[in-house]
Amino acid sequence: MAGSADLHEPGFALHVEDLTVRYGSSIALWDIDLDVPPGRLVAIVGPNGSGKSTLLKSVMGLLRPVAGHIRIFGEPISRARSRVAYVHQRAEVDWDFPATVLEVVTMGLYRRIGWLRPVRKAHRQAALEALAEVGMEAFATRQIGQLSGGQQQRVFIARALIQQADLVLLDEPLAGVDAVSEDIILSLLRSLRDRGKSVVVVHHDLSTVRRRFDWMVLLNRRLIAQGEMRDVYTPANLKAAYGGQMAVFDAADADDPARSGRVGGQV
Amino acid sequence: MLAALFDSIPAMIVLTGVLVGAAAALPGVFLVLRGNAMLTDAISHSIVFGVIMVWLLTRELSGPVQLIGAGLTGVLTVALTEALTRTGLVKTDAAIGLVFSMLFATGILLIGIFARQVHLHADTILLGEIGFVWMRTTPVLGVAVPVSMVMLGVVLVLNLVFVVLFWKELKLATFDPALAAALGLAPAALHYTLLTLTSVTAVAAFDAVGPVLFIAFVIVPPATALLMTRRLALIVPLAAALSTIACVSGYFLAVHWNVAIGGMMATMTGVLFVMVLSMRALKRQLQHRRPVPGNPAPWP
Repeated sequence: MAGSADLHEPGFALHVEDLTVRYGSSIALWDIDLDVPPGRLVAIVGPNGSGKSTLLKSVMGLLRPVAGHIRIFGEPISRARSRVAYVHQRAEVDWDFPATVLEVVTMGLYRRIGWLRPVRKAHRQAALEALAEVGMEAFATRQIGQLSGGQQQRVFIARALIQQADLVLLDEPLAGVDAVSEDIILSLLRSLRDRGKSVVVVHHDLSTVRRRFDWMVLLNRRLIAQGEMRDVYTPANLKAAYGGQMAVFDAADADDPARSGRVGGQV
Repeated sequence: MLAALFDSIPAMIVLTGVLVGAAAALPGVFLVLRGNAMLTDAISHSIVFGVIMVWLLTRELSGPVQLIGAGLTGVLTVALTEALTRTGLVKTDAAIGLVFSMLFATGILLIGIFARQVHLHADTILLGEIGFVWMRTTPVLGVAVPVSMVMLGVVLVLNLVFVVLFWKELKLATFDPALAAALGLAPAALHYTLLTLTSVTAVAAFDAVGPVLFIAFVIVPPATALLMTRRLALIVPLAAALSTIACVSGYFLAVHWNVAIGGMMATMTGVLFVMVLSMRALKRQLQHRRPVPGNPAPWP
């Protein structure tokens, strides 16, 4: 639809420039410049209240920034909605809502189905296949209220998979999930990356981030650092992001600062 | 035969109640699920202001002008509430209370000043008078049909068309507004349309049950139906059926005890709710006593 002349920074899956977001009188994000190359498994890391979720919400156009702009594969969100999937935190919906697992996964297709058009058998079939990918096909007819935390998360992941997006944003997908779900989710995210998709994950656990992701964005309202995991995961950067919360940091074990300190303890 | 039906006063009274219940349940289900049920309270009170304003301007108590004019007051309430909340000086629930009580009070004052002699009377305005709906009729295909019933019928069709056409969009916007917005499916616009329809329904139900009892029809049958099934598509017809039971039983009990018909109908929605709630509690007790091994736990 848009000519290539309209694209701005199309080489990046996600391009954020001069982004400032405010909640009332408090600044949530200040002057963020960010570039995520395609085909990466990216962790966004930072202390509580550092603006990680706010960043994802801004990318999806759910918040109106005070300043700055965001591009997805060179296009503003209004033109890139079909190329990006978003998995918000589990707690943001009411799990007592009367809906089955299959219905919730099918919701990922509502944009493609289009306004006023009903859900058809082919759509349900696609949802079943997405459920099989997360190992939840046996739960298709269950009420969503009957699921455990990890199962709820897998349903949300299936709902994102079905969108077949090129960029997938996930807010804390591993928070409070069981070990089985964690393994399934992580291997799915890796296989997405291996198929050339870009995956951006808000991650809370500093002690596991290095093994699981290959690109890292360190955030504390301002951008602290971004780039290859090995370049960004340094004591100096982590200290800059976490500040006082890194009080127990042991410089002797500089190879893995999080292991030695209690940095990763926050949820 | 149709004419005979409209000649029967009891049939018309009960039918009006049934129409109120069906029309109210459609938006009601989504408002209850979204946790916005009490916005109905604000909307239905505010339309008192709208009804008197439209009457002062046009001298019409019903018809399309009233539906739209007074219906807009409900939307105005929500818009004013959100504007007040956005200032950051007042919390949402306080803002709702501030706006609708002021509009309602102004409406009551205006009635007292300008409408002493007419049909508008503070008591009727609060509770409606479903027992008198047969007194104001309009010819439809040669049959004299109560004005209230015509208005409610139109609104019922309007609500039904909206809910059926936008079924999946409404479901998504109610369950997960963030995803709806992320997919570009305009959850805010849908929500406002839903509130507008609630408001218009309240205006149509104004003569019959008034703004206070109207709240019961929007909230109680859907809340009861939610206790009975987990299938969204069944909740709407079930809520309408519960309303119908409440209207029929309410009418006969009201006649038997010589009490207000609208009040008795609304009371019956509450009685049905308590009955269903008790059955649920009883069922859960029994299940706790005899756990079935291997079966998944029943939903909450």
